[in-house]
Amino acid sequence: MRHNFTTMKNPYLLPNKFRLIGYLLLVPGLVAGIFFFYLDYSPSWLDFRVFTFYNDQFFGPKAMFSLIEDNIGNEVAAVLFLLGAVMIAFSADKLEDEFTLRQRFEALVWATYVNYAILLLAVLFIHGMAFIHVFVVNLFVVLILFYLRYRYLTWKSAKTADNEE
Amino acid sequence: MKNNIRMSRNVVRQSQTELAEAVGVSRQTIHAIETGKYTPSTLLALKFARHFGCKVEDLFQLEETDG
Repeated sequence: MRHNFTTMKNPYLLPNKFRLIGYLLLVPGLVAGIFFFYLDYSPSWLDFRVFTFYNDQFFGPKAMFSLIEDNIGNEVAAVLFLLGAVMIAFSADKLEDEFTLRQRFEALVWATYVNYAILLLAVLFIHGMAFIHVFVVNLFVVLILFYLRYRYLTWKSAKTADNEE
Repeated sequence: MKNNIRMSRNVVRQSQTELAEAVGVSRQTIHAIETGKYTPSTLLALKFARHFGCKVEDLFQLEETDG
């Protein structure tokens, strides 16, 4: 059966094949993130001179619009994970139509509310240096919540349709 | 808004899958419309009307609660 989905296409969605590319970026990004950020692994082969807009170390000089020495492990992990997560979340499904677009919208609004509820709780109950973990996790939570919620909505509608036909 | 999509589909003896293919949406979308969980766009409503050979108003009607 061949569908020709023409109603209300979303120009902001990526082609479906980007989902696979997204997973190929996200998985190594996740592994690298665990090593570089949480296990504090900083191999010297990732030490580079990089350009910075603004750099403020705890025990070092501040720098603006200049080159600094940096271990780019964290940056590599974050870029891989963020690009992967965006591609997974915003790649079109094979059966994408106006109803799935509404489900995407609902999931995005829901994810935004939940994300900021989590952030509010974190502001109130997490203190000191531990709050840096909140910033790191908050980079990705809205995308993860959105995708899980969207998948749940599409699964629920498919299940209901299957049961009632 | 109420609709007669299921009734119209039954008249021409079509499955949800066949109707979905005819108007270019998924079967889940047809089910959501028939059960009132989703109100289709004007474009899709016009496609339904063209498919069933009737006016949009024959398929979709406003209710008191629609204001």
